[in-house]
Amino acid sequence: MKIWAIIEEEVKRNFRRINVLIIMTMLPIFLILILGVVFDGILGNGAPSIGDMKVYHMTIGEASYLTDNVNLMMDGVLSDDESNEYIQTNDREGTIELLKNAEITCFVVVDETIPEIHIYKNSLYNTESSLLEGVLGTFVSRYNAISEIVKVNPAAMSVINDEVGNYTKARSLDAEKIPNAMDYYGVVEVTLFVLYGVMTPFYGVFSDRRTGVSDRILSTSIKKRNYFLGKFFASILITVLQMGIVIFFSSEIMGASWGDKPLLPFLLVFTEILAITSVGLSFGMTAKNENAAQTVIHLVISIFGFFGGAYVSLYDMGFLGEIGKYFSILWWNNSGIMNYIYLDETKFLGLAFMVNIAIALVFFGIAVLKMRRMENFKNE
Amino acid sequence: MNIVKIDKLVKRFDETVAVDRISLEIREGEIYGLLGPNGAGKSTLINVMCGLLKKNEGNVHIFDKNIDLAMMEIKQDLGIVPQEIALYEDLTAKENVKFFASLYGMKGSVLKEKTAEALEFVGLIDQANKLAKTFSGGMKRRLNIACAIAHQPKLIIMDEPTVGIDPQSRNHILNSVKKLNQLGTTIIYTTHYMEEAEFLCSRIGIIDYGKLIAEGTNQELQNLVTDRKTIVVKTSIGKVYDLRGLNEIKGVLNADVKDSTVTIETLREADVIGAVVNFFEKNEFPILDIQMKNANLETIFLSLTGRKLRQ
Repeated sequence: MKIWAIIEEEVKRNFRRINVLIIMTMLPIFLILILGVVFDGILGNGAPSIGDMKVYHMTIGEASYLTDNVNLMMDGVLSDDESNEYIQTNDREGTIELLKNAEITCFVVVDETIPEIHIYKNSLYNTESSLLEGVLGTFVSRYNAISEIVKVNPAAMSVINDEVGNYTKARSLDAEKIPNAMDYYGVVEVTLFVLYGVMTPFYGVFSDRRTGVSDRILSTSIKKRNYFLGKFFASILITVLQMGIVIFFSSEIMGASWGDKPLLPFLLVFTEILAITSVGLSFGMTAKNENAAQTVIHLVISIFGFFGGAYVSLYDMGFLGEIGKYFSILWWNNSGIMNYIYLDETKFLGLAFMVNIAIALVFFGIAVLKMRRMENFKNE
Repeated sequence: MNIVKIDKLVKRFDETVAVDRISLEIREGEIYGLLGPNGAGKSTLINVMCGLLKKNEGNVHIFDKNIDLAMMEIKQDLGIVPQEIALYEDLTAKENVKFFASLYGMKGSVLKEKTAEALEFVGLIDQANKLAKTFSGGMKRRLNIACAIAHQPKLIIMDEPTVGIDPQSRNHILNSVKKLNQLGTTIIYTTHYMEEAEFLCSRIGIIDYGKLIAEGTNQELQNLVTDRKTIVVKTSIGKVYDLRGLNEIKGVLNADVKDSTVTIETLREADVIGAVVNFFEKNEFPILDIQMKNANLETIFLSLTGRKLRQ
């Protein structure tokens, strides 16, 4: 009951702040609309074009059925578009130089002596080379499995040949499952604005400390942990409601897609809210200076947003983007959701869940420790 | 019956001793004043009593219950009016009172009724639905009190509730405190305004540097300082007085002017009244009224500590 009083007061006050409501609901909706329209032609509005690919390949050692099958498969993958080229070379160093200069898309080396397949990529062609890498990866997995079978049953070789043809279907993603700009920004602006939700618990606790309200509350017969949990649950509820409004408008009015099975993506967003609320709570408990804390929060969100692809897609960002993205909670969440919706892949989704939960636990722990040690909230 | 019993209480902040072996008892139904300058340790003492700070040594019993063992139970009958205006400015007056009362477990129609009563008591019932941020400083102070009384506590601790407000609101608050006490509530009232302590309190404890240096009724405290008396001269308004000459009169310890009243502290045995009157005549300062008084709390504090209350 006393927790509910804290939650009710916090929610009521938050929804009375019109500026906060506008920033947390209208702004993301507006951004989704604007970015969705502006980038519509760039991010694609149907099947991605995978033309203009120039792939060099070479074989080290004597070519065997491995080389033959790789070539057969790659020919199949690339043959549908006339602008694609699959060119044999024997000049390894020269080809790597061409790749560095972005004159070719990627370089496939079949080393028959190990045997092993290497793919050299240039990040400027991240999409195309990742697609080929994926196709090759799948091919190698199945090839290895069948090779083991061939050792005991040579007749299985025919299966390899039959299977090779199937990879040509992987050359493009299903047109129905490609995100257009509205879909993309519909997701990434939500995950971005969840980060701004850090302000709710931060202000909820910090302003109470600053004005002495927290001390007054704690001098009533409410337990310290109930006050603390009330703030935590209220902040979660507020951010869930705000993001619920954004998701409703972006998907129902603007048609942004969260996939056929949105439960897991929504659950992931919820765990992101848990993580961010914990961060805000611990900041609110520990911060000494409101302006300094606010500056740090905004800076970190901007960096996370940039590396998480919230403003522009991170493809072709080079080394900095490749490294920076791993430090952005947004990148994990966006990758998890996008890969799940459009590739039916759950690996990143699982990782993103783990990242969110880990952040939530660490920062919630910090906030709890601080709360237990604090005596007079105003003066600490 | 004692409502509060404090025994050799010590509270330290690192090396600083904020409360230094204070012992005191507060009886049911009294208004107990804690008088002392800023930083004397009054608020620290109060924060320990209401469970916000942990004591280092000593014992505190409130309602015959040990605060170490039954703080939650004690808090249920305790009301706190903090020194700062601790309210939610973006809630209405009614919502603020309801919120704080609900933290004591009040709900439903009782909550509604007691909220209205508290607002009525502080004279804000007509402003109940206005946001606290639209209130004047005095109104906020009154709302600050309403938030502490809606759950009808047996003991109310008021920590300098009149700081920074206009005389009208101050009078309203002082009268409210008297009224609350008449209704049976025990009150601990901290202040550094001696007039408030003199007006309100049945007993007063004087705190300085964390120590309780004197305690008793106003009369008992005056008796402590037997070597001094005060001459109060009322004169015309609007003049700027040069009192240097007064301080030079033999037997005068201190002379101070506030508004149109000149207060002169003297040694009790000194016969200075003639010299004071001469000083006024010589300087052509009109005397509208002149009184001889025993020592007031300000004098007592000065005598006990060598400092003024508001230093």
